[in-house]
Amino acid sequence: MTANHVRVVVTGTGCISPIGQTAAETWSALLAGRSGVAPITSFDTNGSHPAYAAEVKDLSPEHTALPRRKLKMMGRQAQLAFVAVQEACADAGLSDAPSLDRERLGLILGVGMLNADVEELGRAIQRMRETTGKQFDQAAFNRAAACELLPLWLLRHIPNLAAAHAGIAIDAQGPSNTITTGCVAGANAIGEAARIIARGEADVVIAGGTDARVTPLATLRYRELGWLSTRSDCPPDAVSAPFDACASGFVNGEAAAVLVLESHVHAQRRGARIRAEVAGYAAANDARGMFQYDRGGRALRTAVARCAASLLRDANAIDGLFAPASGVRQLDVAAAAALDAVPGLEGPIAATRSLAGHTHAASAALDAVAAVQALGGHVLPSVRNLARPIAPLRFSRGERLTRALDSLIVGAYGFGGHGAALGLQRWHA
Amino acid sequence: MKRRAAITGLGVVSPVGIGVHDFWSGLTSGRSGVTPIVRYDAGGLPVQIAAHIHGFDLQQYTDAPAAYSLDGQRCALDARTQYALAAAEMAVRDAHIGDTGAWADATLYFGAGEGDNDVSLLARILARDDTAGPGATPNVLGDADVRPFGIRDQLMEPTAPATLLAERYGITGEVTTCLTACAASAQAIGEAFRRIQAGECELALAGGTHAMTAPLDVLGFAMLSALSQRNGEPARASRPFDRQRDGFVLGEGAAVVILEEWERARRRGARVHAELIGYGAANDAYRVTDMHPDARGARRAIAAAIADAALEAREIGYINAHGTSTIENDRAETRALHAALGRAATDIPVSSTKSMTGHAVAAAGAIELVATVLALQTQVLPPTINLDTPDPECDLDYVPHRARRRTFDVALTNSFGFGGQNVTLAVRRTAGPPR
Repeated sequence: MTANHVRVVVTGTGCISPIGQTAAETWSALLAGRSGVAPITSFDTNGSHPAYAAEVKDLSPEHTALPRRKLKMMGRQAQLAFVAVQEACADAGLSDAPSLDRERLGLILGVGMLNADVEELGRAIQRMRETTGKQFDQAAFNRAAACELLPLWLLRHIPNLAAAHAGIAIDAQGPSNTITTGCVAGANAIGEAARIIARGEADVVIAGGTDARVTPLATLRYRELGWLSTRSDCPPDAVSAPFDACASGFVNGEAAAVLVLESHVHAQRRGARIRAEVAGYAAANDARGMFQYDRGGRALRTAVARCAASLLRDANAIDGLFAPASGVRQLDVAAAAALDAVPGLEGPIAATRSLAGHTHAASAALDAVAAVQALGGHVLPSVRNLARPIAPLRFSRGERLTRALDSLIVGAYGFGGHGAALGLQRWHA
Repeated sequence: MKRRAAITGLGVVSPVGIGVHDFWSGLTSGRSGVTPIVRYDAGGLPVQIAAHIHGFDLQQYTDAPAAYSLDGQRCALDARTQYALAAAEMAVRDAHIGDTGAWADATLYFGAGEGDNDVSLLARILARDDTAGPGATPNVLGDADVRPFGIRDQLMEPTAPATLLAERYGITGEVTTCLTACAASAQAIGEAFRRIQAGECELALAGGTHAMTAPLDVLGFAMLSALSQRNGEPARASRPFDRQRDGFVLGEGAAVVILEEWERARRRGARVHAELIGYGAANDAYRVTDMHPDARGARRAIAAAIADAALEAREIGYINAHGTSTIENDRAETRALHAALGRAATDIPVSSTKSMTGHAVAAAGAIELVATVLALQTQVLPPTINLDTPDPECDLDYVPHRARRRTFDVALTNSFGFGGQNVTLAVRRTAGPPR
């Protein structure tokens, strides 16, 4: 490494998830094995299945940093991101850092697709049906929608406004991006942010993911595609079973999770507490279209191998891995194949979706937050609901490890055959 | 040492022409692509005009299927994905990189919007329960069969076009989609360019696609008072920098560029359309719908692209403006150009091709980069049509009405988005194979 090589470090975390209102709460729930899966409260499931999801429990302005007057124009994913970014900034000591160069402060979020909201659109359709005798008529719909939709309706549905709202609040005038690669987006966002800092284009970039798909239409979509578990023969918290032979699909979740990434020089100069180093990132694709995975999990395998190679330049071994398994058979099989022989991996494999559900574009970022919390300790979260593993991998049982965790990989894999991996390492100056 | 990037392939699908040749003759002849909406019944919408692409047939451009088949279900690909498949095929053929092995390690970076909502299908889903009283939540999750809603909805994801392109060309390297509103495809090209500059890849397929022209899109933007309501004169509705403008016109399309590390292009004797020499991005962090009054993000994006390309302002011979035809954008962009370029600003022709193409949102930046490259190659500047009486606060040379010949070597193109995203790209003219 050259003397002027920029190292990218983590100086803060933020997370609001089904299992915690903060990063610390989320981490302790993961360690304690507290599930976030519960009956759906955000809409009426009318007796249909699934009746459960992993929802964020409290997103009210009373209990979060959300500004009440802006709520109307913020989609739920923007609200989640806002809360997580505020927490991360406070955690990193950026909230009161007047000397911070705002033009070199960036924000990159992985964001999910927000379906049309059923409430307002449903009213418009109802109004149309009243005038047309229940037939669909485009012009009648147009008139009805013009009456029923709020003027700011569109703003809640524009993906990059999640980063815009949060970025305005922290005055981030540097690089900004919104990555929309589905379940892998949070990992891509963190990886791209790390590159931007390494290239010298920013000092600090807050990066992660946000997603809020516990909605009727997204539920319908995933159920129809057969990816969502609908079983009701066990308690909700037993449904999400990554890597288990009896798994019947994922449990829909929502969350926002972000890291504060920073060049090590900048972090040291301002006396920030360095929590970890981003020591590797890679991404790849299966090239098999929107609905198929490579059976061997090619994209995940490629990304993890490249990331492991970066980590192993400094570390003797990789102490653990967060796997992107969610209980969807085809995906879990591919992920297990990809993780079969990770170079240098000597520790256990965790799967946080067993507790937090599948939080889509936030999922890899949530795992990255967990990995940062885990470094330096001796334990990884146990994989819950895993009775009959589909592969002979070493899954975490929450056992105490002999060596302190020094290097971890976060794997990400999802629809569209997107794969990515992040390498996080304890900071060694 | 930064590596250089050659643009060796171009593909474009736009309301003024499909394919580079028709696109360019449309733009240089000053033809508007804005028409009354006929794709669907626009009755009841406050805005009834758009720059739609008419008569598009995917099979004329590629043998890629226009529908997705899965488990016996068939679902037509939405317009946005079809435009992307066509534009990419044009660019790939233009670059003469047919060998799929070459694409394995390539980067694919796309700025893509979401697919359109099928409102009649949604109406069926949301109104299934006729027994429920007024005000009841629609029973979306009832047991009725609404297939292929799931496949269609999944294919609406922003990542769908890039994912299908990766499959088609066997791209197993990095495949990324960003969606930074109106800056998305310019940002995608810029980020792919950075990867080439940094030596992270040697070949990239980059661009964008969007068809934000469906009823809910038109209504959504109209309710924000962003759109022109000049329904009686569609061809005159998009009039950037003109005093009589009243908003932008939604458009659609796709554009793809093939970026190649300079030495790689030289080794294989590729024809180089232009060199991509600079990328700058900055954020307003001001308001979600308004630009900063001093256009601070736009000014810094322009300045950053110029610095990245190591240019002097006076070397710039043409700027393709973001130029949406809103009072706010046109004035802020003019201020940003003055601030970033200083005294050189008044000597540099600036035109808005959105006066003809409408605003293709996430695809706009890529479409306009193609226009900028063609301007360099042909040494012709496309005009800003409908600019009859300039806004007094817009005091640059906007190339009104008619295309203009000009000898120049360097051009910029601006893309500014909702949410305060600002991107500028810089390109340089090349002649023949790379030197």
